[in-house]
Amino acid sequence: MTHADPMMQQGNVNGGPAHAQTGRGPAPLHPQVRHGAWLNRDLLLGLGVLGLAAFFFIGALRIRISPSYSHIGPRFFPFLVSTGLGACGIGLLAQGLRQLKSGAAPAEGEAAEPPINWVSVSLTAAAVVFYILLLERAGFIAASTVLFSLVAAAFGARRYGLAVLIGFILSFTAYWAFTQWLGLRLPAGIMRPILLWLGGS
Amino acid sequence: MLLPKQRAASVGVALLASFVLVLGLIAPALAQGAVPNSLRIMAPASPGGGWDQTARYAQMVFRDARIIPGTVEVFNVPGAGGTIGLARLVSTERGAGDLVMITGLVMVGAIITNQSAVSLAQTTPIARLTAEYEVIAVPANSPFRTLDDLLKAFKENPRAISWAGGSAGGVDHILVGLLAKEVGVAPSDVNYIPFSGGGEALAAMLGGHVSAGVTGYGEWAAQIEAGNLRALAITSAQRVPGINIPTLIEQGVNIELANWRGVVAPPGITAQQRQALINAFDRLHASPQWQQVLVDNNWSDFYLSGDAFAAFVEQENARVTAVLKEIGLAP
Amino acid sequence: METLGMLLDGFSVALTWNNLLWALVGVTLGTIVGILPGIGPALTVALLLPVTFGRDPIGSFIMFAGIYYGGMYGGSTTAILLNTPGESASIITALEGNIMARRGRGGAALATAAIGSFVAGTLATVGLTFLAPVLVQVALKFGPADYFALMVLAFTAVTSLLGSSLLRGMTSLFFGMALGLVGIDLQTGQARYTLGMLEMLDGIDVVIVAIGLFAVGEALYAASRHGRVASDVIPVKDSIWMTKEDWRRSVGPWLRGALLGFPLGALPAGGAEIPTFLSYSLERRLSRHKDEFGKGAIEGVAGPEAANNAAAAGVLVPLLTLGIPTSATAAIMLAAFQQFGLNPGPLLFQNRPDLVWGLIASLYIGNVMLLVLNLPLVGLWVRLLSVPAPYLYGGILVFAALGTYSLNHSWVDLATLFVVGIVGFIMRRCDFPVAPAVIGLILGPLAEQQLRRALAISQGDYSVFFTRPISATLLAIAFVALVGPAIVRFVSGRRRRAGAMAA
Repeated sequence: MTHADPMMQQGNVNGGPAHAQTGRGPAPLHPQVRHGAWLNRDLLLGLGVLGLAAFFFIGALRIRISPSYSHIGPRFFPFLVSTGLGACGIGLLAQGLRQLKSGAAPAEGEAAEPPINWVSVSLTAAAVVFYILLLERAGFIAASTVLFSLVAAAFGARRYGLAVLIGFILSFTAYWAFTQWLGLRLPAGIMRPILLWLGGS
Repeated sequence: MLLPKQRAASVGVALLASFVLVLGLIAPALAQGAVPNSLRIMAPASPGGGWDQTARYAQMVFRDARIIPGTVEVFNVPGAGGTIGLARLVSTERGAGDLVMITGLVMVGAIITNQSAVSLAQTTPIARLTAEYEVIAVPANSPFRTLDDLLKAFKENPRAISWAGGSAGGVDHILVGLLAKEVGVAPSDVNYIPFSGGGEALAAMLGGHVSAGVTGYGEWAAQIEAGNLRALAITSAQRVPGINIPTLIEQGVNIELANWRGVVAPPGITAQQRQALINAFDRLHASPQWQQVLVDNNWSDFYLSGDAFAAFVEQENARVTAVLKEIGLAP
Repeated sequence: METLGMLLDGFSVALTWNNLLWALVGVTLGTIVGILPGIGPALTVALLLPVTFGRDPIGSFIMFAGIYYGGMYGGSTTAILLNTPGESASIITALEGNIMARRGRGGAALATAAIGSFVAGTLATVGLTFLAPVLVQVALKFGPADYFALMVLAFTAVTSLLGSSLLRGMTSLFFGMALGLVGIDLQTGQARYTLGMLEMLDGIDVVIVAIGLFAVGEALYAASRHGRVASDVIPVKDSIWMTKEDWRRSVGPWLRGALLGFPLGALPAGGAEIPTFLSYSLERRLSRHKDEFGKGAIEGVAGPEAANNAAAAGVLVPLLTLGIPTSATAAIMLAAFQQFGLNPGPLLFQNRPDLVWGLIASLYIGNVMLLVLNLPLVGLWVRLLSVPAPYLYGGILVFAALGTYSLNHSWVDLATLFVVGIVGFIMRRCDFPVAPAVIGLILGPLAEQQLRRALAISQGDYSVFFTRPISATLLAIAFVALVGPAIVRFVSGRRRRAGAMAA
């Protein structure tokens, strides 16, 4: 997970332009000097990317090579890609170390990010996990209603009853439209008796 | 569409069927002609492919010919050459007497190459339905006029002959493997170029980027008829009526290969349930509607049910395993 | 003009009330499913196939074509407004389009996408009408070596998408390529990185990665900023329509997008994504407002949107003339032809001219319908931005999950979606551009297959890439695209220095 740095509290609270996709955030306003830090974001990311590269490199050694003729075998690209990924990891690592040495804040964007709202993120992530667990057991409508309501709560909806109601109507409509008109199969789950009563399937 | 007379007749059949069914419930010993009340057909592939089409046509005929009294439903469980559907059939659907899954030669190969934990031996074979034969073709401007020309060149300089076909380990690849074995070319010298989906392979053939190609006859039939591709051989035992292509056997290559499709049921069903499913497919096969489906789709009738089909599956498994071992796709 | 006569006959088929109704149903349905993330035209046509069983083939095909075109229009809407592209061909649209939307220019972005789609779709349909037989002959000349060269060119176009940090962009690109390695190796049939799971054998679906990185990643990212940052989205500024300036800046990209998209879409191994990469990169190079790219340049929406719609028409060239499907939707349409006992290919034009020309005529009509349908909706769509965040993100996730589950009915896909979503969140949080990962996932496997195919056919002779005219030309363009800007910078830098000295 991301390393939430307690030193980085001075986020751009009023919000500048969103820059997540292209990485064109405004430059940090106040390059901060940190003392005694031994780990920073790029260092951590570099380690993560290197780990991923190692996984793909070692995995490449375990790909079987078939005796059929092929000039370039199934391992060539995995080696190429894992090497490239590894090089990127080393680059990030080096960038992290450089920042540590100079004691400067990273150049890219971090200063513009406010600290993570862990409650909202966890609730949103939990909503997706619940959905995966519920879908095939409780059915699409129930799972989707839970997903919708939890996400709504994560984003600060305070009228829970209304959120559940909207979620239910949305899920029910989607279920009905896709199963009845398009013939998509979705798990009915606990709603089966009611759906059958309504003449659906 | 059904004519009124036919409709009346099929209503009669349906009434008779339900009567027989009631009898069957009362006296199982008399239930020779019983069919399941309702049926689910699993197509272990995405909508649109050959297995899906087989499932949908069977559904249509079961309905139109009034063979199954209740609902007939088709659903798709795609992935990994059908082995995901197979795994589901063997595990969660165990004992379900109202379910069949479409299967075929492609799945026999996929079970081996994917090292699937479950195999067709664990299912309850019901019936073999259709076959599509493979065709060996070359681009229209190819120097190879006959199969002999092609195989001679293949023998002399095997790697110079690039074979276009479907995915590695599939029916097309198996045929090329069998050909190599027949003419004595080492598998490590077979230059097989897999393409995903028939379209890409066809484009490579029409553009003359490969020396030869192998696929199900239906896929390239239009191009062969239009003269854009030259068909050299077909893999049926005898010539297929309406297709003017010599067989491999009549050209002295002793290979017969049918890309067959059939249905299997989950394990753990009762003997009565199995017999009811076999009865249902026997009636499907006997119906004029099904015969029309075969004609419309260029599918050859390849019907075989019950124990004979089970023996056939075993035999195919042995043959395919041997070839795939040879080309390095089976452990 | 023989073709013109045929086309007129086609219009007489397509303009019956019945078929107009089918077209309307198709484009409406297509627009709706295009908007929903993960539920694209391919799935919709596949689901509707059994429904059309035994009905009139002409009406069915007119409806399918409407769904297909409509999906392309609809795909851009959520990409622009919510940064959640519904399918892979609208990922590029999301880049500039979403930034425009956040700055209150969502209406203009939607309008340029819709009008661009109409212009390019119509031009490409004209191309399909008159050039199909010629174009298909050219397209068949593309062999594996030429495709590999095309992939190299597409990779160089990616450099304009890497964002501010080359290192971070490359990491994202390699990450996507690594994901592309998972699954059965097509050339040898060996499993790679499947961790022993059957579900992984078919690889990781691009749709899942696109929805995961964009929709789920974006939702998690927005959650992480919830309550910390005041919403920076300006629903609508000034007018929702395009200004005169917008028009002036959009016309060029529309036309160039159509010119790129149609022929590349017609290639038997093309698809609609590559033209969008190339179009974005081209517009960025040609634009007089280079500094606006990455901050909401309208050219970056107009070009790729035109390109993907033109490619959609291009895809019909090999489908109708040869029976070769080159996209997921085309593959389902081919199955539809077979369902009706028809074989697309050289004989279809002779045997069923009513169907072929009725279908082509319906494309013109469908395009007009889509424009008429979509332009008034622009005003409605931009209001999506005023839906309160809790319900907006709840809805996005419900449909993202539905779309993912509908692919294979497998919880493994949902788990993959979740993991990819977490990665997307980390990437956003740590300033990695997301688009290169999706592009790597699309281009990586294509490049690998074509390279290995080319070398297997040539038996290891690398010279094929330079002796084949198409391949050599494409590689030369790629080289110029990569090195050209550096040379220009170098020369102009010297000139400036020389000028400074002289002054």
